[in-house]
Amino acid sequence: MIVLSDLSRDLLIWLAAYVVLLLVIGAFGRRAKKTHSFSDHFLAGRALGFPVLILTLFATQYSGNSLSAFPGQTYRQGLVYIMSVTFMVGIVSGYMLFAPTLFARARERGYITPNDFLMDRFNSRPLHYLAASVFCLTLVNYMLAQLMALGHAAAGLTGGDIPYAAAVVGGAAVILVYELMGGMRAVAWTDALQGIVLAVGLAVVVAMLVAQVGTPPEIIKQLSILAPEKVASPDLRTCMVWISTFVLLALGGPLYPQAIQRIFAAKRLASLKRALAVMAVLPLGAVTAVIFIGAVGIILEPGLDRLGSDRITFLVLGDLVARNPQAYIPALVVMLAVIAAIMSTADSCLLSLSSIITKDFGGAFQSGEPELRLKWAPWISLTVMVVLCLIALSPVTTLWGLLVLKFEILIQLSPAFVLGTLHTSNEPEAYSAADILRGLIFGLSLVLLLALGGHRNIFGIHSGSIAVAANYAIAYGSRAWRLRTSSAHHTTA
Amino acid sequence: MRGTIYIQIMQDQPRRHRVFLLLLLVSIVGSVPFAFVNRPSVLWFGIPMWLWISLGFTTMLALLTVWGIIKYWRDDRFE
Repeated sequence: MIVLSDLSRDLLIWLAAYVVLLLVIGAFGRRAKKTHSFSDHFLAGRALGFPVLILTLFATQYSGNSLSAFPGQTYRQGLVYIMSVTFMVGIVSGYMLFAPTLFARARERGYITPNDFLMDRFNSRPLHYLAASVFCLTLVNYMLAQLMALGHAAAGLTGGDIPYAAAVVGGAAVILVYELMGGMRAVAWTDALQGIVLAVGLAVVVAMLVAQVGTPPEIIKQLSILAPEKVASPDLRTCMVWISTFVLLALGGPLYPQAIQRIFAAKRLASLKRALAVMAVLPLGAVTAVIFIGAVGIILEPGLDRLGSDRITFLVLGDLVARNPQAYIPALVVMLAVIAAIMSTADSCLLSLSSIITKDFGGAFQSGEPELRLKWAPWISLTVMVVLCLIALSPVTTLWGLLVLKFEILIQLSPAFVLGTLHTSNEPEAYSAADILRGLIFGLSLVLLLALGGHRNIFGIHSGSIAVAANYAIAYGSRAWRLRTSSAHHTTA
Repeated sequence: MRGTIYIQIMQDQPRRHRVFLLLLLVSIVGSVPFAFVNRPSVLWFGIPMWLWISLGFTTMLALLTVWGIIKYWRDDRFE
Protein backbone atom coordinates (compact mmCIF):
# COMPACT_ATOMS: atom_id res chain seq x y z
CA MET A 1 0.00 0.00 0.00
CA ILE A 2 3.00 2.28 0.55
CA VAL A 3 3.86 1.76 -3.09
CA LEU A 4 0.30 2.61 -4.13
CA SER A 5 0.39 5.86 -2.15
CA ASP A 6 3.71 6.79 -3.81
CA LEU A 7 2.09 6.12 -7.16
CA SER A 8 -0.85 8.29 -6.14
CA ARG A 9 1.39 11.26 -5.35
CA ASP A 10 3.23 11.11 -8.66
CA LEU A 11 0.00 10.49 -10.54
CA LEU A 12 -1.19 13.93 -9.44
CA ILE A 13 1.79 15.56 -11.19
CA TRP A 14 1.35 13.42 -14.31
CA LEU A 15 -2.36 14.21 -14.40
CA ALA A 16 -1.69 17.94 -14.21
CA ALA A 17 0.78 17.72 -17.11
CA TYR A 18 -1.66 15.59 -19.07
CA VAL A 19 -4.51 18.10 -18.62
CA VAL A 20 -2.25 20.92 -19.86
CA LEU A 21 -1.38 18.82 -22.92
CA LEU A 22 -5.08 18.20 -23.63
CA LEU A 23 -5.80 21.92 -23.49
CA VAL A 24 -2.87 22.66 -25.82
CA ILE A 25 -4.24 20.08 -28.29
CA GLY A 26 -7.66 21.73 -27.99
CA ALA A 27 -6.08 25.07 -28.90
CA PHE A 28 -4.39 23.51 -31.94
CA GLY A 29 -7.75 22.04 -32.93
CA ARG A 30 -9.25 25.53 -32.82
CA ARG A 31 -6.49 26.90 -35.06
CA ALA A 32 -7.01 24.08 -37.55
CA LYS A 33 -10.69 24.92 -38.05
CA LYS A 34 -11.35 25.83 -41.65
CA THR A 35 -15.02 26.79 -41.85
CA HIS A 36 -17.86 27.57 -39.48
CA SER A 37 -19.94 24.53 -40.40
CA PHE A 38 -21.46 21.39 -38.89
CA SER A 39 -19.10 19.25 -40.95
CA ASP A 40 -16.01 21.09 -39.72
CA HIS A 41 -17.02 21.21 -36.05
CA PHE A 42 -18.66 17.81 -35.59
CA LEU A 43 -16.75 15.74 -38.19
CA ALA A 44 -13.35 17.47 -38.43
CA GLY A 45 -14.14 18.47 -42.01
CA ARG A 46 -14.37 14.73 -42.92
CA ALA A 47 -10.58 14.69 -43.02
CA LEU A 48 -9.50 12.06 -40.47
CA GLY A 49 -6.69 9.95 -41.92
CA PHE A 50 -5.76 6.40 -40.92
CA PRO A 51 -3.45 7.09 -37.91
CA VAL A 52 -5.88 9.41 -36.12
CA LEU A 53 -8.88 7.33 -37.15
CA ILE A 54 -7.53 4.07 -35.71
CA LEU A 55 -6.47 5.72 -32.45
CA THR A 56 -9.74 7.60 -31.99
CA LEU A 57 -11.76 4.43 -32.72
CA PHE A 58 -9.56 2.55 -30.25
CA ALA A 59 -9.87 5.19 -27.52
CA THR A 60 -13.62 5.53 -28.05
CA GLN A 61 -14.40 1.80 -28.08
CA TYR A 62 -12.15 0.98 -25.12
CA SER A 63 -13.40 3.05 -22.21
CA GLY A 64 -11.94 3.10 -18.72
CA ASN A 65 -14.30 0.22 -18.13
CA SER A 66 -12.15 -2.03 -20.28
CA LEU A 67 -9.09 -1.46 -18.10
CA SER A 68 -10.74 -1.70 -14.70
CA ALA A 69 -14.03 -3.61 -15.07
CA PHE A 70 -12.80 -6.36 -17.42
CA PRO A 71 -10.03 -7.52 -15.04
CA GLY A 72 -12.57 -7.26 -12.20
CA GLN A 73 -14.99 -9.53 -14.08
CA THR A 74 -12.14 -11.96 -14.82
CA TYR A 75 -11.26 -11.98 -11.13
CA ARG A 76 -14.84 -12.92 -10.23
CA GLN A 77 -15.78 -15.20 -13.15
CA GLY A 78 -12.42 -16.68 -14.10
CA LEU A 79 -11.08 -17.40 -17.58
CA VAL A 80 -14.59 -17.65 -18.97
CA TYR A 81 -14.54 -13.88 -19.23
CA ILE A 82 -12.41 -14.41 -22.33
CA MET A 83 -15.85 -14.02 -23.93
CA SER A 84 -15.17 -10.27 -23.92
CA VAL A 85 -12.57 -10.80 -26.68
CA THR A 86 -15.32 -12.24 -28.89
CA PHE A 87 -17.61 -9.33 -27.99
CA MET A 88 -15.08 -6.68 -29.00
CA VAL A 89 -14.36 -8.45 -32.31
CA GLY A 90 -18.12 -8.81 -32.83
CA ILE A 91 -18.64 -5.04 -32.62
CA VAL A 92 -16.39 -4.58 -35.67
CA SER A 93 -18.08 -7.50 -37.48
CA GLY A 94 -21.39 -5.73 -36.80
CA TYR A 95 -20.29 -2.70 -38.83
CA MET A 96 -20.34 -4.87 -41.96
CA LEU A 97 -24.13 -5.10 -41.69
CA PHE A 98 -24.68 -1.48 -42.68
CA ALA A 99 -21.48 0.60 -42.81
CA PRO A 100 -20.66 0.16 -46.55
CA THR A 101 -23.97 1.66 -47.69
CA LEU A 102 -24.06 4.19 -44.85
CA PHE A 103 -20.58 5.49 -45.68
CA ALA A 104 -21.44 5.89 -49.39
CA ARG A 105 -24.69 7.72 -48.66
CA ALA A 106 -23.07 9.88 -45.98
CA ARG A 107 -20.33 10.95 -48.36
CA GLU A 108 -22.80 11.87 -51.11
CA ARG A 109 -25.54 13.42 -49.00
CA GLY A 110 -23.35 15.10 -46.36
CA TYR A 111 -24.75 13.41 -43.25
CA ILE A 112 -23.66 14.85 -39.90
CA THR A 113 -25.56 12.64 -37.46
CA PRO A 114 -26.86 9.04 -37.78
CA ASN A 115 -30.38 10.49 -37.86
CA ASP A 116 -29.61 12.24 -41.14
CA PHE A 117 -29.56 8.80 -42.75
CA LEU A 118 -32.89 7.82 -41.18
CA MET A 119 -34.54 11.07 -42.31
CA ASP A 120 -33.06 10.77 -45.80
CA ARG A 121 -34.00 7.12 -46.20
CA PHE A 122 -37.42 6.98 -44.48
CA ASN A 123 -38.57 10.64 -44.54
CA SER A 124 -40.49 10.16 -41.29
CA ARG A 125 -40.50 12.75 -38.50
CA PRO A 126 -41.83 10.33 -35.84
CA LEU A 127 -38.99 7.90 -36.63
CA HIS A 128 -36.48 10.76 -36.75
CA TYR A 129 -37.40 12.10 -33.31
CA LEU A 130 -37.85 8.69 -31.71
CA ALA A 131 -34.42 7.57 -32.95
CA ALA A 132 -32.84 10.88 -31.85
CA SER A 133 -34.36 10.39 -28.38
CA VAL A 134 -32.96 6.85 -28.17
CA PHE A 135 -29.51 8.09 -29.20
CA CYS A 136 -29.66 10.92 -26.63
CA LEU A 137 -30.76 8.60 -23.84
CA THR A 138 -27.90 6.23 -24.65
CA LEU A 139 -25.32 9.01 -24.81
CA VAL A 140 -26.53 10.65 -21.59
CA ASN A 141 -26.30 7.30 -19.84
CA TYR A 142 -22.85 6.57 -21.24
CA MET A 143 -21.53 10.02 -20.36
CA LEU A 144 -22.97 9.91 -16.88
CA ALA A 145 -21.30 6.54 -16.33
CA GLN A 146 -17.98 7.96 -17.56
CA LEU A 147 -18.20 11.05 -15.31
CA MET A 148 -18.94 8.89 -12.27
CA ALA A 149 -16.15 6.49 -13.25
CA LEU A 150 -13.79 9.47 -13.61
CA GLY A 151 -14.67 10.63 -10.10
CA HIS A 152 -14.18 7.19 -8.58
CA ALA A 153 -10.96 6.50 -10.52
CA ALA A 154 -9.31 9.83 -9.69
CA ALA A 155 -10.35 9.67 -6.04
CA GLY A 156 -9.28 6.02 -5.74
CA LEU A 157 -5.99 6.34 -7.60
CA THR A 158 -4.83 9.47 -5.78
CA GLY A 159 -5.87 8.09 -2.41
CA GLY A 160 -8.49 10.82 -2.02
CA ASP A 161 -6.08 13.70 -2.81
CA ILE A 162 -8.48 14.51 -5.66
CA PRO A 163 -11.97 14.15 -4.11
CA TYR A 164 -14.76 12.52 -6.15
CA ALA A 165 -16.66 15.78 -6.67
CA ALA A 166 -13.55 17.71 -7.73
CA ALA A 167 -12.63 15.00 -10.23
CA VAL A 168 -16.13 14.97 -11.75
CA VAL A 169 -16.37 18.77 -12.05
CA GLY A 170 -12.71 19.29 -13.01
CA GLY A 171 -12.70 16.47 -15.58
CA ALA A 172 -15.97 17.71 -17.10
CA ALA A 173 -14.59 21.26 -17.33
CA VAL A 174 -11.40 20.13 -19.09
CA ILE A 175 -13.36 18.01 -21.59
CA LEU A 176 -15.77 20.87 -22.20
CA VAL A 177 -12.99 23.40 -22.82
CA TYR A 178 -11.03 21.37 -25.40
CA GLU A 179 -14.21 20.15 -27.10
CA LEU A 180 -15.55 23.69 -27.45
CA MET A 181 -12.21 24.93 -28.74
CA GLY A 182 -11.51 22.32 -31.37
CA GLY A 183 -14.69 20.27 -31.93
CA MET A 184 -14.12 16.82 -33.45
CA ARG A 185 -10.49 17.68 -34.37
CA ALA A 186 -9.59 18.29 -30.73
CA VAL A 187 -11.57 15.24 -29.60
CA ALA A 188 -9.93 12.98 -32.22
CA TRP A 189 -6.43 14.32 -31.57
CA THR A 190 -6.78 13.98 -27.79
CA ASP A 191 -8.23 10.50 -28.42
CA ALA A 192 -5.09 9.71 -30.42
CA LEU A 193 -2.92 10.77 -27.47
CA GLN A 194 -5.12 8.79 -25.08
CA GLY A 195 -5.01 5.76 -27.39
CA ILE A 196 -1.19 5.83 -27.44
CA VAL A 197 -1.00 6.13 -23.63
CA LEU A 198 -3.44 3.22 -23.30
CA ALA A 199 -1.62 0.94 -25.76
CA VAL A 200 1.91 1.63 -24.50
CA GLY A 201 0.99 1.33 -20.80
CA LEU A 202 -0.86 -1.93 -21.32
CA ALA A 203 1.87 -3.53 -23.43
CA VAL A 204 4.68 -2.69 -21.00
CA VAL A 205 2.78 -3.77 -17.88
CA VAL A 206 1.73 -7.10 -19.41
CA ALA A 207 5.31 -7.76 -20.53
CA MET A 208 6.52 -7.04 -16.98
CA LEU A 209 3.82 -9.25 -15.44
CA VAL A 210 4.91 -12.12 -17.67
CA ALA A 211 8.52 -11.57 -16.62
CA GLN A 212 7.80 -11.14 -12.88
CA VAL A 213 4.79 -13.38 -12.18
CA GLY A 214 4.63 -15.90 -15.01
CA THR A 215 3.54 -16.74 -18.53
CA PRO A 216 -0.14 -17.50 -19.22
CA PRO A 217 0.36 -21.31 -18.92
CA GLU A 218 2.20 -20.80 -15.61
CA ILE A 219 -0.58 -18.56 -14.30
CA ILE A 220 -3.23 -21.09 -15.37
CA LYS A 221 -1.29 -23.88 -13.67
CA GLN A 222 -1.29 -21.92 -10.41
CA LEU A 223 -4.98 -21.10 -10.87
CA SER A 224 -5.81 -24.79 -11.35
CA ILE A 225 -4.41 -25.43 -7.87
CA LEU A 226 -5.56 -22.28 -6.05
CA ALA A 227 -8.99 -21.77 -7.64
CA PRO A 228 -9.86 -24.58 -10.09
CA GLU A 229 -13.34 -23.14 -10.66
CA LYS A 230 -11.71 -20.13 -12.36
CA VAL A 231 -10.31 -22.29 -15.19
CA ALA A 232 -13.33 -24.59 -15.50
CA SER A 233 -15.35 -24.65 -18.72
CA PRO A 234 -18.54 -22.56 -18.56
CA ASP A 235 -21.97 -23.98 -17.71
CA LEU A 236 -24.94 -23.81 -20.11
CA ARG A 237 -26.36 -20.63 -18.59
CA THR A 238 -23.03 -18.84 -19.00
CA CYS A 239 -22.93 -19.97 -22.64
CA MET A 240 -26.42 -18.49 -23.15
CA VAL A 241 -25.32 -15.20 -21.54
CA TRP A 242 -22.24 -15.31 -23.82
CA ILE A 243 -24.23 -15.66 -27.06
CA SER A 244 -26.90 -13.16 -25.96
CA THR A 245 -24.31 -10.55 -24.97
CA PHE A 246 -22.59 -11.12 -28.30
CA VAL A 247 -25.85 -10.33 -30.14
CA LEU A 248 -26.36 -7.22 -27.99
CA LEU A 249 -22.87 -5.90 -28.65
CA ALA A 250 -22.49 -6.92 -32.30
CA LEU A 251 -25.78 -5.24 -33.21
CA GLY A 252 -25.70 -2.41 -30.65
CA GLY A 253 -21.99 -1.47 -30.46
CA PRO A 254 -21.74 -0.18 -34.04
CA LEU A 255 -24.84 1.97 -33.45
CA TYR A 256 -23.18 4.26 -30.93
CA PRO A 257 -23.61 7.68 -32.58
CA GLN A 258 -20.03 8.66 -31.78
CA ALA A 259 -18.81 5.52 -33.59
CA ILE A 260 -21.02 6.18 -36.63
CA GLN A 261 -19.77 9.77 -36.75
CA ARG A 262 -16.20 8.50 -36.96
CA ILE A 263 -17.27 6.60 -40.08
CA PHE A 264 -18.62 9.88 -41.48
CA ALA A 265 -15.41 11.71 -40.50
CA ALA A 266 -13.02 9.40 -42.39
CA LYS A 267 -11.02 11.16 -45.09
CA ARG A 268 -11.08 8.23 -47.50
CA LEU A 269 -12.75 4.85 -47.59
CA ALA A 270 -9.34 3.15 -47.71
CA SER A 271 -8.38 4.78 -44.37
CA LEU A 272 -11.66 3.72 -42.78
CA LYS A 273 -11.35 0.13 -44.02
CA ARG A 274 -7.77 -0.16 -42.79
CA ALA A 275 -8.76 1.27 -39.39
CA LEU A 276 -11.70 -1.14 -39.02
CA ALA A 277 -9.52 -4.07 -40.15
CA VAL A 278 -7.01 -3.26 -37.39
CA MET A 279 -9.86 -2.81 -34.89
CA ALA A 280 -11.11 -6.31 -35.77
CA VAL A 281 -7.88 -8.03 -34.72
CA LEU A 282 -6.94 -5.63 -31.90
CA PRO A 283 -9.07 -7.32 -29.20
CA LEU A 284 -7.09 -10.55 -29.65
CA GLY A 285 -4.13 -8.73 -28.09
CA ALA A 286 -5.61 -5.83 -26.12
CA VAL A 287 -8.54 -7.57 -24.42
CA THR A 288 -6.61 -10.80 -23.85
CA ALA A 289 -3.95 -8.69 -22.10
CA VAL A 290 -6.57 -7.13 -19.82
CA ILE A 291 -8.02 -10.57 -19.02
CA PHE A 292 -4.47 -11.71 -18.18
CA ILE A 293 -4.18 -8.89 -15.60
CA GLY A 294 -7.41 -10.13 -13.96
CA ALA A 295 -6.14 -13.73 -13.92
CA VAL A 296 -2.84 -12.66 -12.35
CA GLY A 297 -4.89 -10.75 -9.77
CA ILE A 298 -6.61 -13.96 -8.61
CA ILE A 299 -3.19 -15.32 -7.65
CA LEU A 300 -1.65 -12.16 -6.22
CA GLU A 301 -4.66 -10.79 -4.36
CA PRO A 302 -6.97 -13.67 -3.39
CA GLY A 303 -10.15 -13.25 -1.36
CA LEU A 304 -11.30 -9.82 -2.53
CA ASP A 305 -14.98 -8.87 -2.42
CA ARG A 306 -16.80 -7.29 -5.37
CA LEU A 307 -15.67 -3.75 -4.52
CA GLY A 308 -12.09 -4.86 -4.04
CA SER A 309 -12.04 -6.90 -7.24
CA ASP A 310 -13.09 -3.83 -9.24
CA ARG A 311 -9.76 -2.30 -8.14
CA ILE A 312 -7.78 -5.38 -9.09
CA THR A 313 -5.86 -3.66 -11.93
CA PHE A 314 -4.42 -1.12 -9.49
CA LEU A 315 -3.71 -3.70 -6.80
CA VAL A 316 -1.80 -5.80 -9.37
CA LEU A 317 0.12 -2.69 -10.45
CA GLY A 318 1.05 -1.95 -6.82
CA ASP A 319 2.21 -5.54 -6.39
CA LEU A 320 4.22 -5.38 -9.61
CA VAL A 321 6.01 -2.21 -8.51
CA ALA A 322 6.77 -3.79 -5.14
CA ARG A 323 8.41 -6.73 -6.96
CA ASN A 324 10.24 -4.61 -9.51
CA PRO A 325 10.83 -0.87 -9.01
CA GLN A 326 11.43 -0.55 -12.77
CA ALA A 327 7.69 -1.08 -13.23
CA TYR A 328 7.00 2.25 -11.50
CA ILE A 329 6.78 4.38 -14.65
CA PRO A 330 4.75 1.83 -16.69
CA ALA A 331 2.36 1.45 -13.74
CA LEU A 332 1.91 5.23 -13.67
CA VAL A 333 1.27 5.21 -17.42
CA VAL A 334 -1.47 2.58 -17.00
CA MET A 335 -3.09 4.56 -14.18
CA LEU A 336 -3.02 7.64 -16.37
CA ALA A 337 -4.36 5.50 -19.23
CA VAL A 338 -7.43 4.55 -17.17
CA ILE A 339 -8.29 8.20 -16.62
CA ALA A 340 -7.41 9.01 -20.24
CA ALA A 341 -9.67 6.21 -21.51
CA ILE A 342 -12.58 7.49 -19.42
CA MET A 343 -12.07 11.05 -20.68
CA SER A 344 -11.76 9.97 -24.31
CA THR A 345 -15.07 8.14 -24.18
CA ALA A 346 -16.78 11.02 -22.39
CA ASP A 347 -15.55 13.67 -24.85
CA SER A 348 -16.78 11.65 -27.86
CA CYS A 349 -20.20 11.23 -26.22
CA LEU A 350 -20.45 14.95 -25.45
CA LEU A 351 -19.65 15.99 -29.02
CA SER A 352 -22.09 13.46 -30.44
CA LEU A 353 -24.83 14.48 -28.02
CA SER A 354 -24.27 18.14 -28.84
CA SER A 355 -24.52 17.40 -32.60
CA ILE A 356 -27.79 15.45 -32.21
CA ILE A 357 -29.43 18.11 -30.06
CA THR A 358 -28.20 20.96 -32.28
CA LYS A 359 -28.94 19.38 -35.65
CA ASP A 360 -31.70 16.82 -35.12
CA PHE A 361 -33.80 18.50 -32.44
CA GLY A 362 -32.78 22.05 -33.35
CA GLY A 363 -34.75 21.88 -36.60
CA ALA A 364 -37.99 21.81 -34.62
CA PHE A 365 -37.20 25.20 -33.09
CA GLN A 366 -35.50 27.06 -35.91
CA SER A 367 -36.23 26.64 -39.58
CA GLY A 368 -34.01 28.03 -42.34
CA GLU A 369 -30.28 27.52 -42.79
CA PRO A 370 -29.29 24.63 -40.45
CA GLU A 371 -25.67 25.81 -40.10
CA LEU A 372 -26.92 28.89 -38.23
CA ARG A 373 -27.74 26.57 -35.34
CA LEU A 374 -24.03 25.85 -34.85
CA LYS A 375 -23.89 28.87 -32.53
CA TRP A 376 -26.07 26.87 -30.12
CA ALA A 377 -23.54 24.03 -29.84
CA PRO A 378 -21.37 25.56 -27.05
CA TRP A 379 -24.43 26.36 -24.92
CA ILE A 380 -25.86 22.89 -25.47
CA SER A 381 -22.56 21.23 -24.52
CA LEU A 382 -22.29 23.47 -21.43
CA THR A 383 -25.88 22.75 -20.35
CA VAL A 384 -25.45 18.99 -20.86
CA MET A 385 -22.24 18.98 -18.82
CA VAL A 386 -23.74 21.02 -15.95
CA VAL A 387 -26.83 18.80 -15.73
CA LEU A 388 -24.78 15.58 -15.89
CA CYS A 389 -22.33 16.84 -13.28
CA LEU A 390 -25.24 17.62 -10.95
CA ILE A 391 -26.61 14.10 -11.44
CA ALA A 392 -23.16 12.51 -11.05
CA LEU A 393 -22.67 14.38 -7.77
CA SER A 394 -25.94 13.08 -6.33
CA PRO A 395 -26.94 10.00 -8.33
CA VAL A 396 -30.66 9.27 -8.31
CA THR A 397 -30.92 5.51 -7.97
CA THR A 398 -34.32 5.19 -9.64
CA LEU A 399 -33.07 7.13 -12.65
CA TRP A 400 -29.90 5.06 -12.68
CA GLY A 401 -31.96 1.89 -12.70
CA LEU A 402 -33.61 2.95 -15.94
CA LEU A 403 -30.39 4.10 -17.50
CA VAL A 404 -28.62 0.75 -17.20
CA LEU A 405 -30.94 -0.42 -19.97
CA LYS A 406 -28.98 1.64 -22.51
CA PHE A 407 -27.81 -1.23 -24.68
CA GLU A 408 -31.17 -2.97 -24.60
CA ILE A 409 -32.73 0.30 -25.81
CA LEU A 410 -30.05 1.30 -28.34
CA ILE A 411 -30.09 -2.09 -30.05
CA GLN A 412 -33.75 -1.54 -31.00
CA LEU A 413 -32.50 0.89 -33.67
CA SER A 414 -30.61 -1.93 -35.38
CA PRO A 415 -33.40 -2.82 -37.88
CA ALA A 416 -33.63 0.83 -38.98
CA PHE A 417 -29.98 0.76 -40.08
CA VAL A 418 -29.56 -2.89 -41.11
CA LEU A 419 -32.86 -3.23 -43.00
CA GLY A 420 -32.82 0.42 -44.07
CA THR A 421 -29.57 -0.04 -45.97
CA LEU A 422 -30.83 -3.12 -47.85
CA HIS A 423 -32.72 -1.11 -50.48
CA THR A 424 -33.09 2.41 -51.82
CA SER A 425 -36.32 4.12 -50.75
CA ASN A 426 -37.85 3.93 -54.25
CA GLU A 427 -37.53 0.15 -54.56
CA PRO A 428 -40.96 -1.49 -54.14
CA GLU A 429 -39.64 -4.13 -51.73
CA ALA A 430 -37.89 -1.54 -49.53
CA TYR A 431 -38.79 -1.38 -45.85
CA SER A 432 -41.04 1.61 -45.14
CA ALA A 433 -40.93 3.97 -42.16
CA ALA A 434 -44.12 2.33 -40.87
CA ASP A 435 -42.49 -1.15 -40.94
CA ILE A 436 -39.49 0.10 -38.99
CA LEU A 437 -41.59 2.17 -36.56
CA ARG A 438 -43.88 -0.75 -35.72
CA GLY A 439 -40.89 -2.94 -34.89
CA LEU A 440 -39.11 -0.17 -32.99
CA ILE A 441 -42.10 0.78 -30.83
CA PHE A 442 -42.79 -2.87 -30.03
CA GLY A 443 -39.11 -3.55 -29.24
CA LEU A 444 -38.80 -0.53 -26.94
CA SER A 445 -42.10 -1.33 -25.19
CA LEU A 446 -41.06 -4.95 -24.65
CA VAL A 447 -37.70 -3.94 -23.15
CA LEU A 448 -39.40 -1.53 -20.74
CA LEU A 449 -42.14 -4.01 -19.81
CA LEU A 450 -39.62 -6.79 -19.14
CA ALA A 451 -37.48 -4.39 -17.10
CA LEU A 452 -40.47 -3.20 -15.07
CA GLY A 453 -41.41 -6.83 -14.47
CA GLY A 454 -37.90 -7.47 -13.17
CA HIS A 455 -36.92 -9.67 -16.14
CA ARG A 456 -33.57 -8.27 -17.27
CA ASN A 457 -32.84 -11.68 -18.74
CA ILE A 458 -34.61 -14.99 -19.24
CA PHE A 459 -32.34 -18.02 -18.81
CA GLY A 460 -29.34 -15.89 -19.68
CA ILE A 461 -30.91 -14.25 -22.74
CA HIS A 462 -31.06 -10.46 -22.28
CA SER A 463 -34.40 -8.70 -22.61
CA GLY A 464 -32.79 -6.55 -25.35
CA SER A 465 -31.90 -9.62 -27.44
CA ILE A 466 -35.45 -10.99 -27.12
CA ALA A 467 -36.94 -7.59 -27.97
CA VAL A 468 -34.70 -7.00 -30.99
CA ALA A 469 -35.61 -10.42 -32.39
CA ALA A 470 -39.29 -9.46 -32.09
CA ASN A 471 -38.48 -6.03 -33.52
CA TYR A 472 -36.89 -7.56 -36.66
CA ALA A 473 -39.74 -10.07 -37.00
CA ILE A 474 -42.38 -7.33 -36.80
CA ALA A 475 -40.59 -5.12 -39.35
CA TYR A 476 -40.25 -8.12 -41.68
CA GLY A 477 -43.87 -9.21 -41.14
CA SER A 478 -45.17 -5.67 -41.65
CA ARG A 479 -43.34 -5.39 -44.97
CA ALA A 480 -44.50 -8.85 -46.10
CA TRP A 481 -48.12 -7.96 -45.23
CA ARG A 482 -47.86 -4.64 -47.08
CA LEU A 483 -46.37 -6.26 -50.17
CA ARG A 484 -49.00 -8.99 -50.12
CA THR A 485 -51.95 -6.61 -49.77
CA SER A 486 -50.50 -4.30 -52.40
CA SER A 487 -50.05 -7.24 -54.81
CA ALA A 488 -53.63 -8.45 -54.10
CA HIS A 489 -54.91 -4.89 -54.66
CA HIS A 490 -53.15 -4.72 -58.06
CA THR A 491 -54.51 -8.14 -59.06
CA THR A 492 -58.08 -7.09 -58.12
CA ALA A 493 -57.71 -3.79 -59.99
CA MET B 1 -27.88 7.35 -61.87
CA ARG B 2 -27.44 7.79 -58.12
CA GLY B 3 -29.94 4.99 -57.48
CA THR B 4 -27.96 2.69 -59.78
CA ILE B 5 -24.76 3.37 -57.82
CA TYR B 6 -26.48 2.60 -54.50
CA ILE B 7 -27.95 -0.62 -55.87
CA GLN B 8 -24.45 -1.66 -56.97
CA ILE B 9 -23.01 -0.89 -53.52
CA MET B 10 -25.91 -2.65 -51.81
CA GLN B 11 -25.52 -5.72 -53.98
CA ASP B 12 -21.76 -6.00 -53.52
CA GLN B 13 -21.04 -5.76 -49.81
CA PRO B 14 -20.03 -8.29 -47.16
CA ARG B 15 -23.54 -9.23 -46.05
CA ARG B 16 -24.57 -10.19 -49.61
CA HIS B 17 -22.08 -13.10 -49.73
CA ARG B 18 -23.83 -16.12 -48.29
CA VAL B 19 -20.80 -18.40 -47.85
CA PHE B 20 -19.04 -15.55 -46.06
CA LEU B 21 -22.04 -15.02 -43.76
CA LEU B 22 -22.23 -18.75 -43.07
CA LEU B 23 -18.54 -18.82 -42.09
CA LEU B 24 -19.11 -15.81 -39.81
CA LEU B 25 -22.01 -17.62 -38.14
CA VAL B 26 -19.91 -20.77 -37.69
CA SER B 27 -17.11 -18.75 -36.08
CA ILE B 28 -19.55 -16.96 -33.73
CA VAL B 29 -21.26 -20.18 -32.58
CA GLY B 30 -17.89 -21.97 -32.41
CA SER B 31 -16.46 -19.29 -30.12
CA VAL B 32 -19.03 -20.19 -27.44
CA PRO B 33 -17.85 -23.43 -25.79
CA PHE B 34 -21.24 -25.22 -25.79
CA ALA B 35 -19.45 -28.53 -26.48
CA PHE B 36 -17.51 -28.27 -23.22
CA VAL B 37 -20.46 -27.61 -20.88
CA ASN B 38 -20.18 -29.73 -17.70
CA ARG B 39 -16.98 -31.38 -18.93
CA PRO B 40 -13.71 -31.47 -17.00
CA SER B 41 -11.16 -28.89 -18.12
CA VAL B 42 -8.34 -30.60 -20.05
CA LEU B 43 -5.11 -28.64 -20.41
CA TRP B 44 -3.23 -28.51 -23.72
CA PHE B 45 0.13 -26.71 -23.69
CA GLY B 46 -0.88 -25.37 -20.29
CA ILE B 47 -4.14 -23.78 -21.52
CA PRO B 48 -7.64 -25.33 -21.16
CA MET B 49 -8.82 -26.93 -24.40
CA TRP B 50 -12.12 -24.99 -24.34
CA LEU B 51 -10.12 -21.76 -24.20
CA TRP B 52 -8.00 -22.78 -27.22
CA ILE B 53 -11.14 -23.62 -29.21
CA SER B 54 -12.93 -20.42 -28.20
CA LEU B 55 -9.93 -18.22 -29.00
CA GLY B 56 -9.40 -20.13 -32.26
CA PHE B 57 -12.94 -19.40 -33.46
CA THR B 58 -12.67 -15.81 -32.23
CA THR B 59 -9.47 -15.43 -34.28
CA MET B 60 -11.35 -16.88 -37.25
CA LEU B 61 -14.13 -14.32 -36.69
CA ALA B 62 -11.58 -11.49 -36.58
CA LEU B 63 -9.80 -12.66 -39.74
CA LEU B 64 -13.09 -13.15 -41.58
CA THR B 65 -14.10 -9.63 -40.58
CA VAL B 66 -10.83 -8.28 -41.99
CA TRP B 67 -11.38 -10.35 -45.15
CA GLY B 68 -14.94 -9.06 -45.52
CA ILE B 69 -13.86 -5.44 -45.07
CA ILE B 70 -11.02 -5.68 -47.57
CA LYS B 71 -12.48 -8.05 -50.16
CA TYR B 72 -16.21 -7.31 -50.19
CA TRP B 73 -16.41 -3.63 -49.26
CA ARG B 74 -15.38 -1.85 -52.41
CA ASP B 75 -16.33 1.56 -53.69
CA ASP B 76 -13.90 3.02 -56.21
CA ARG B 77 -15.40 6.52 -55.91
CA PHE B 78 -14.16 6.98 -52.35
CA GLU B 79 -11.08 4.72 -52.17
